[in-house]
Amino acid sequence: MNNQEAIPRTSPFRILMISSISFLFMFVGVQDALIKPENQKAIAVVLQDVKSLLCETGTRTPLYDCSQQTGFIKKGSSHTNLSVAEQLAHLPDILNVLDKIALPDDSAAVAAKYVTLVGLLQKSRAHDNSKAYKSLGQIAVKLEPVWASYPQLVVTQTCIFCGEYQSMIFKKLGVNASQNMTAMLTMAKMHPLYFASFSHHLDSGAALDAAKNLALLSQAGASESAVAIAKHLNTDSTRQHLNAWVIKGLNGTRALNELPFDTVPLETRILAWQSGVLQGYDTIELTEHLVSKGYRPALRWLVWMNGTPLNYLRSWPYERNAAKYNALLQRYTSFGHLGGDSLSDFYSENWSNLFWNAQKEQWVMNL
Amino acid sequence: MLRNRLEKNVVVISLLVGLMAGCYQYVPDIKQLAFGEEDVVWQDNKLDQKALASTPPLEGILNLSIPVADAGLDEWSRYLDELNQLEASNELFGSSNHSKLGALYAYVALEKPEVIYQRLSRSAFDLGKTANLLQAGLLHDWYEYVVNPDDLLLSNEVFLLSFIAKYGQAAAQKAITQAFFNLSSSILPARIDPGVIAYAYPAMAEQQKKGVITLMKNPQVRYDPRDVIKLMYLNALDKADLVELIENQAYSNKSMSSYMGHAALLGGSSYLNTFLKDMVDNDKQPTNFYCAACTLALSTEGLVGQPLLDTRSQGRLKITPENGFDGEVAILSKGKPVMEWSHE
Repeated sequence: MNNQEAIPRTSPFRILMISSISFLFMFVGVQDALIKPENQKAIAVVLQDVKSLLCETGTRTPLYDCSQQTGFIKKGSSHTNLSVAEQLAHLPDILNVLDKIALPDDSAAVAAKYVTLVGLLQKSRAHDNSKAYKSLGQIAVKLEPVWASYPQLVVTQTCIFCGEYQSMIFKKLGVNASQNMTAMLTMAKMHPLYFASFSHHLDSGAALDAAKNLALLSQAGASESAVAIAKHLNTDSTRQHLNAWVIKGLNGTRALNELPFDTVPLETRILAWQSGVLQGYDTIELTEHLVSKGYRPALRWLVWMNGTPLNYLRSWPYERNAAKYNALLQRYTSFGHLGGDSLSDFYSENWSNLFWNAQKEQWVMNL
Repeated sequence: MLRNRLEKNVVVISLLVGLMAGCYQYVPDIKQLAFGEEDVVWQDNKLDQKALASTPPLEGILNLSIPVADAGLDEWSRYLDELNQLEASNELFGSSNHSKLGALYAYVALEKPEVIYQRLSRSAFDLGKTANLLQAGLLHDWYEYVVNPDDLLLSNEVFLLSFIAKYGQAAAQKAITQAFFNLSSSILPARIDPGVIAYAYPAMAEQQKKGVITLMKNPQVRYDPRDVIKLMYLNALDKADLVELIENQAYSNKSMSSYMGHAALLGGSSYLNTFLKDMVDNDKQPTNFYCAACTLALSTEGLVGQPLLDTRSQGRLKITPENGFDGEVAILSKGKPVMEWSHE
């Protein structure tokens, strides 16, 4: 007797069932995976790596072309007889222009050309103000691949003292930390704007050290960076660095803007205020603060601003705050009803009899 | 479960077919992502003349032949010349002191900093451009490779920041102190930034601290008078000395004269007559560079505004030097019709 069990035969119906179930299982699984863009990208990266490897070893297949050189500018313009600049100038706005730019590969040399191209084209459309600002997010998207590996190329292409339009790009890019953190952290120690943008990646001790060095050795630059450095310095027990910082540049005096004034030593507040006044760029908040503390030069400045006809003193910071300057005089002096020549006449005659009355919180005549 | 080899083969083949069918519709997208160019629609609009006017010829940039990293210095030097030429002929390094080819220079600094160090050694590379590269954390070896690096260390705060990032604060203070006092034996004029000296000052020996002002008063040592204010926060130097340092290097014209206001805040009254003369029109200078009335408001007490102008025009202004509690340097009052210092 044969002790081996006979192999059961498979019916056509069973074959059909097995093949259908297997097919559907794989089909649905693959579809489910590939519908996600990140999976598509991952496969594309693998294919690129495989292509590089195969091309390096001289293997050729119909799937790819090893000699293929993708350009920086996508094809499709109907003005191919014109220069690249002219072709791009026919596009309606910066978003359309950005849409036509491509990063051909991930080498540093190509990245340098690409970042230069994006920077020049961004600048060429800066005249269209509202669209230029709205495009910053898309510019950041275009720069992200380079930012991840070579943030130095992006920062050197960006004019860091040409206003907010240029420098806002760091805020947008900084959200997605670069993979090259060493480069980022070095930059945070080298310029106040980079410090403001990336210092949250530094530990508190390193951030304070960097802020101190920048306070001594750099101009304050934009308000945002002036404030960022001052916030760190105000945590330090010695105020030498904060004092140095508030006298730097036009915006140094704005460094205290986001700090409660009473947390800052009076000496520093005065230095910051003086620095602003000396440049015709005082902050009215500090003027009010010091007038209300009985600081005489602040009162005198208020009198000069309200009581002289000097046009150059009444530049845009004054024009924006003219009513406020007048309100300060009314609130903190007993002669606030005066203005113009009558105010300067009054002060010139009575200055030596004017005193701060802490109880009344006003400058009054001592009769 | 599967009963025989036939069924197993059917399963394998069906899975493969399922895999191919599942992938099929995504193949073009993945191929596009991996190797291809996107198909884009070019909207054909009217030529934006402003955009065209402010776009340099892009072919020059796109066709640049960038050397490979291990190319020789000569090749990199030729490339740098090409960049300079491209920049100059298209006005890409303008009044903002920022190169619109910044990333291309940064690439040189990344791959072949030696070629820039070579040029810095013979003062043949723009310092503004170098500052941008240093601020990006590049060229961090400059002190080792540039010939006479102390000139750059003493005269430029960005170079010092880079030095600190690489070697630390103590090493920086030591290097500055040594380089600064080496100037005393030099017969050549030297330019320094007082901010750099202020940085090293706290770490100097007492004897060296005493020698700082003396050396800065040496006519061979040059600096921007506007930067003397950077020594003020130390609270260690005599204010009269600082005023003297300002006066020693004052400019011959009014432009960029914020140092006059600094001198007044430091207790110097020597510029008061200039402020009074310029009070009405600020000598047509922008207030961020020079502000006559602002400085008078801070540093003098007494007459203000129109009464001050009237008294001065009548020749009756009396200026009484004062060492006021809040930094006033003089009292302005109505006196006899003379214009001179009063010493009551």
